[in-house]
Amino acid sequence: MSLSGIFHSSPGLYVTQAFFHSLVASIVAEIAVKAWDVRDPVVRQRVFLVPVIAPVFLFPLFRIVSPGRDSIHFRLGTIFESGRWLELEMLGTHPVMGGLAVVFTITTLVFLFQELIPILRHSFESGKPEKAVGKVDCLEDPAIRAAMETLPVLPAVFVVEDDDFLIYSTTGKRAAVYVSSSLVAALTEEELRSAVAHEISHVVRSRHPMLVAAYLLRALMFFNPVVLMEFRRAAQEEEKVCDEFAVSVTRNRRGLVQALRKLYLPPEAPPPPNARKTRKTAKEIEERSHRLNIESRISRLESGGDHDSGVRSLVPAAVAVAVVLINYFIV
Amino acid sequence: MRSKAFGFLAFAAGLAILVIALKALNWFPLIAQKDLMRRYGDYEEMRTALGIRQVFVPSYFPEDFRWPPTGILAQGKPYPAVIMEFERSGEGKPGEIGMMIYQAAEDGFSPGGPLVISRIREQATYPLKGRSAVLEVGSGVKGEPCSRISWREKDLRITVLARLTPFELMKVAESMLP
Repeated sequence: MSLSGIFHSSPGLYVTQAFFHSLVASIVAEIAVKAWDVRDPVVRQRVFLVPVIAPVFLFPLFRIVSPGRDSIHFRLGTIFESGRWLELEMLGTHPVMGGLAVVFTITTLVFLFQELIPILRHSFESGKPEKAVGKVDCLEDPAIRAAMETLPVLPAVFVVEDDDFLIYSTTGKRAAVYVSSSLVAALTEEELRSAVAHEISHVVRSRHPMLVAAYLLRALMFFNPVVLMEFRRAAQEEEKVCDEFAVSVTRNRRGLVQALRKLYLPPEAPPPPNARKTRKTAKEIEERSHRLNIESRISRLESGGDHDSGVRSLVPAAVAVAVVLINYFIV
Repeated sequence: MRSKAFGFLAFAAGLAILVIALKALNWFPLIAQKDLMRRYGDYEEMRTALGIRQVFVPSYFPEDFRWPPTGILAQGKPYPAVIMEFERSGEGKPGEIGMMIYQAAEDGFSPGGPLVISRIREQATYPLKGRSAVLEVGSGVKGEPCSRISWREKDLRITVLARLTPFELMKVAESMLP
């Protein structure tokens, strides 16, 4: 089957329209965030999840609701017809069609090697208990203990022997938080408590139905670069949501800020004298991006956080409605 | 966090700009490539623009239908296809398309649109001046009688679809062939 045949088949139409629907949804989400100046990570996360979830359903939904949407008459009168761009010819080739095929292939490989395989490996390894050398008791404070007891899950917190600064959690039946011995030594008691509370929030929220559904739906869109990007943005907001949770439990912003600084922002080493400043390796760019993300979390925590309770449902709902209405006319 | 009202206003303005930008993007391929599916003002304009050598047209029109077609849609790529729409000129709803004739170099070509057979009651092979045509009799979306006849002419698939009796439909189809 030719490339054109693949794009004009039913799966090809689904893939193409899902891509354009997510692209439009992503722009609508960005407009909403700017229009309402949304800063609350919970609202931002919901908004960013619309372009992740909507394209899974829109094409089949539109086909059921309006079979005439496939007709040439509808296509000619619509806002945007992807077929026109796909059929554009240049020097006997279809550059847009070829370009999209390359983009979908690269995105699939990124999903496979950066997400699916690491997650499967993590799930497999999380079944095996780590070699813990001790246990941290964060529940000494009666207020924290009272807050924690209301949670649906309270994972054990273990210390593992390691010279690197590490703190991570495993989910599932044997949910646990692991802290490296060097980090325990470096953090004060209140900082450690904040860091552990943040990790416990990840464990608790990993069972959140909306997030579980979002990840499963995101996996169905494995080929879609816009969904990949938007899901990662939603995941970044997840860190901020967990920061808020940690602060609400420990009632100590400063403790989490200090923990984040010690854990992720060690003083930057000066570049080697013969280093070429114009060329940055992929690792350097990734580290820089990670550092910016941590700095944004710290700055948010220091400014006291943002709670847009008035628009918690309104903005995601407005985005969802606009996405459905506009995408109906994107074929 | 801005006020809700200002937010709604800014959101609506942003959406309007997005729709306008998408519309503009949608026009670009039509400017860059002349043979994509589009609507033509008349039959001659379409033939000149696309250079389609052979377009099968009927010489017989039932009552209420007449030449030229009220709408012509055509493309040269990815394969040549021509759709001619005929509105009823007599009684009936004004502007209602009662007959569609389309030809395409692809068997699976189905334009959909204002005239469709939603339920096929009867299907038969019918000899049409030496060709083997498929005649389908059924009803449209609103239950009105609707018939379709389709046959292969060299490298083209020709279809006539109309709110007509099968007898009238076959007369139209026969008049399209030498």
